[in-house]
Amino acid sequence: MKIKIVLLLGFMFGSASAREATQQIDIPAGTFVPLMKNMDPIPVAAFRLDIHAVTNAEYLAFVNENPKWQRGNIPRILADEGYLRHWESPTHPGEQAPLNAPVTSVSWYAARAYAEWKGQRLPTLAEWEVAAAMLPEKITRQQILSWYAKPLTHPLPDTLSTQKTTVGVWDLHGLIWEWCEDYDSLALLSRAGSDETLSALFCGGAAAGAADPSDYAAFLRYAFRGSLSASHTVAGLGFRCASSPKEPTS
Amino acid sequence: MKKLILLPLLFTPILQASDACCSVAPPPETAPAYSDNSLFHLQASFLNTDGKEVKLADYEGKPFILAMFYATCPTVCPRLILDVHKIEAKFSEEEKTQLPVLLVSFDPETDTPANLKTFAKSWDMDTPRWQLWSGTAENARTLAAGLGIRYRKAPNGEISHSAPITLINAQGEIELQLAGPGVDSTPLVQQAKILLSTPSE
Amino acid sequence: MKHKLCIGSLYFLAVLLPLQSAELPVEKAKMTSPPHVPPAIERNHPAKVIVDMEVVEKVMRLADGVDYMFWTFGGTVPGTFIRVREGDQVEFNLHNHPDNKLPHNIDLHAVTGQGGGAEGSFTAPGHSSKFSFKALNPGLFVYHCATQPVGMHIANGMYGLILVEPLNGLSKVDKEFYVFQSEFYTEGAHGEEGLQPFSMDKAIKEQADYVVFNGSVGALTGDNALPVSKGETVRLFVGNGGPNLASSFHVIGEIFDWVYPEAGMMANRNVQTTTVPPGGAAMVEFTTDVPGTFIIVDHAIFRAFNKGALGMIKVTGEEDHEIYSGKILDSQYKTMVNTPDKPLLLPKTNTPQKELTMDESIKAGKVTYQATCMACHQANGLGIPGVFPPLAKSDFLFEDIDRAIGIVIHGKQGPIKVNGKDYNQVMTPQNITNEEISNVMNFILNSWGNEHPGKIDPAKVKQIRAK
Repeated sequence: MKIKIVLLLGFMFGSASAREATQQIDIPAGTFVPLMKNMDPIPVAAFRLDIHAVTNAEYLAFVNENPKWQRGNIPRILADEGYLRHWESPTHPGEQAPLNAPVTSVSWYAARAYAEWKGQRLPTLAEWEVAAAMLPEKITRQQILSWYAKPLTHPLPDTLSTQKTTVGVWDLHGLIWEWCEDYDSLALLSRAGSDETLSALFCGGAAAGAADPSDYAAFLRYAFRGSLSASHTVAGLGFRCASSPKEPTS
Repeated sequence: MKKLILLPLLFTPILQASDACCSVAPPPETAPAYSDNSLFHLQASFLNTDGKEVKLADYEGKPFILAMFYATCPTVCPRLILDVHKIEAKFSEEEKTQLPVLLVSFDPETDTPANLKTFAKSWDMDTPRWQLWSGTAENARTLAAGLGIRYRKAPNGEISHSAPITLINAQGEIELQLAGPGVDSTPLVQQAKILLSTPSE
Repeated sequence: MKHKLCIGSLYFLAVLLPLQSAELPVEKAKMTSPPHVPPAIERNHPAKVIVDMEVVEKVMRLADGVDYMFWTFGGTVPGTFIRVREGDQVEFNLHNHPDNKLPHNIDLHAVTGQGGGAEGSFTAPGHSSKFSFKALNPGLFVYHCATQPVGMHIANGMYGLILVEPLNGLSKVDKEFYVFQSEFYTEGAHGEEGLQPFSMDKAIKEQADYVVFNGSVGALTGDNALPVSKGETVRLFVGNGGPNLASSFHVIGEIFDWVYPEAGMMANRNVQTTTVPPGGAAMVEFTTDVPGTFIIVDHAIFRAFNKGALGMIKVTGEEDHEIYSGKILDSQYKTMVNTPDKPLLLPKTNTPQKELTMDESIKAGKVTYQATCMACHQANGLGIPGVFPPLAKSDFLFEDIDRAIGIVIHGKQGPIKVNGKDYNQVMTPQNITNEEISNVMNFILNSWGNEHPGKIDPAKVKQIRAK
């Protein structure tokens, strides 16, 4: 069994180095302040993040090299029946999934498998939020919120089509939702009316009350993540990859 | 009438249990023929207290009790472990040998195999029937996702987490889950006894 | 072996399921879209009732020219009306459409249990949830989405009514309707056209742009008026979703014979206006004694005149002059105060706007008409015979259009004859801008069969105002 795992790892690293990586940029260290009042701010070390979400073209390369992640080959526990449902066939994205549009309807397991294949990882929720908060001043909360006032388009727009953060990461708001490594780790508030149940289940105590009750878009993200299970696929939910800096910072 | 409709749902895993226990595990090179909802599909390996590499599918063919914890937890996890002890007390010695207990750590950084070995001793755990595993943060996250467990490590090292006790059947499927410590364990005990009474040879 | 399995499984069932639900007859819940109400429940025993509710996020009309991204229960605002019976075991299936962007859930005020079902129904897009509850208390209950941020989910249209009929049923009436008040907060001002996003700021400040019955301006007016024949008994199931504003629910020209305030089981008699709080409901009952158009309003009246809180019940049948005569006598009252020479209110000063084409002007005029004129002159421009003169095919209007513009500016009092009928009512001066008057005149002169090729410009209005 050990032998098998070693072989597998060798294979994965080999393929990752053979592929040209999506451009990643450095996100400076920061602090994520969770929406919940009684949670301590989370320090986030510098990391690297894809400048855009993983596209259908990129994901196609992944499933071509890893047939077990093709639609139809995945056990339900790793992705529900909506997995890549908008793709024309398991190996052909087709009209509803333009090559430069973000891949969606992928489960958390699938997103992670992709990241692993690239020798990378998913960003943590705190990393994602830190990156997403680096918005130019001209973008207001109301603008971010306005995305929810428009129906999901079919097909989705291409990546690099909305706005970018001050450090140059695109589409963190206004294109799709994105998986994070620990996507549901802050989902304590998500189930309205059930805070008591959750606080009973969570040691360390669950949160009630938000630090900033006017940040509606953040509420929506928290609630959305809280509704997910790792096998879920959603038409507007994709992902991007992250990595730690090559030279570990002290 | 309703009962008749519901019964097959409950029996399904049991019948599959008797099918699967008689088949030989497929060779690792081909895709294993686990059922759609089997946790054995999860790609996650761990280390046991002897430092040996292990994975969930090693349990294929027998039901087991599975919970996640971390050894330095000051509140919920001690209660969780006590509850598993109490559940065990409801089984005969013979039954117990058929129902291993697996505890997997959220916190591999602190819970090294050596630390967990000491921890098991301090709790009088019946090793090796009780297994304590740790591994990597990623693999703990993978297993937690499969079990629907949410957790978050605070900057001070304390981990907030849900703490279900899960009964896994011989196919690696979640047979029944108790929401957490303090919940009436009768349904889990009953269901485990049903699984155990299914002929294994 | 089989025997053993059965015993174990039955025990397991007994622990996890309410035993009696296994023995109840099963049926699909009776559900309808507003303003309709499912028929009364005939059975006299409890049942297991299955509700399938789909959550759909979709763009629909909020007012003419104004679209909004509604989040709906069942594709309508308010959501599908559910009717069950006290003691029923309700199996609730919430389906979140795959194209939706957001997770949703449902908190039914008819549920006894934590969160009213919110946790049991919390569902990601493209997924379904099932939970079950026993309808312990009879009454009319609001349901709504309770996903964070709750206010936004409610503000976007996620509410509706569930009726739990008491064991003995409700009294028999001829007509039942579903009327639901709520308000909307848009980024643009009232009437600003296009797809209007939700305004978080206005919602927090409780400054509603629209207050409406059944989800949009005009949902219960004109052709959508609730039809009733004279002599019929009517029951309105009235709900209020808010999110912020309590309703002073009133039907002009009717007295509620019975009101079940707060939709409880104790009735009050002979009520003019009843309060319906956000997240609350009321049942009102009345008999239609005379024909006419009975206007449903939130009697916090600016909401009715300026924000859309208008509905109509059209009662057809023979006049009964003993109950209501209409106007009998008109005579000169010597000390009557003269119509003021100048407008009571100064017109708003407004910045010059780009000149609209005829089509644009008519479109804009329609919005102004609905906010300002429709309450009296009606959506079809026919007015109310004997009370408010018609504008459709009106000889009085076309005889002298400048005079008509003057009436909009300065108001009008005293008898006039329109299309051969006498009218004697007061029209107050309208506090709207020259642009708005020109637009509304262009709309009036080119609607309901009216034709007037010449465009009225703001300059013309200004000129008449200056006279």
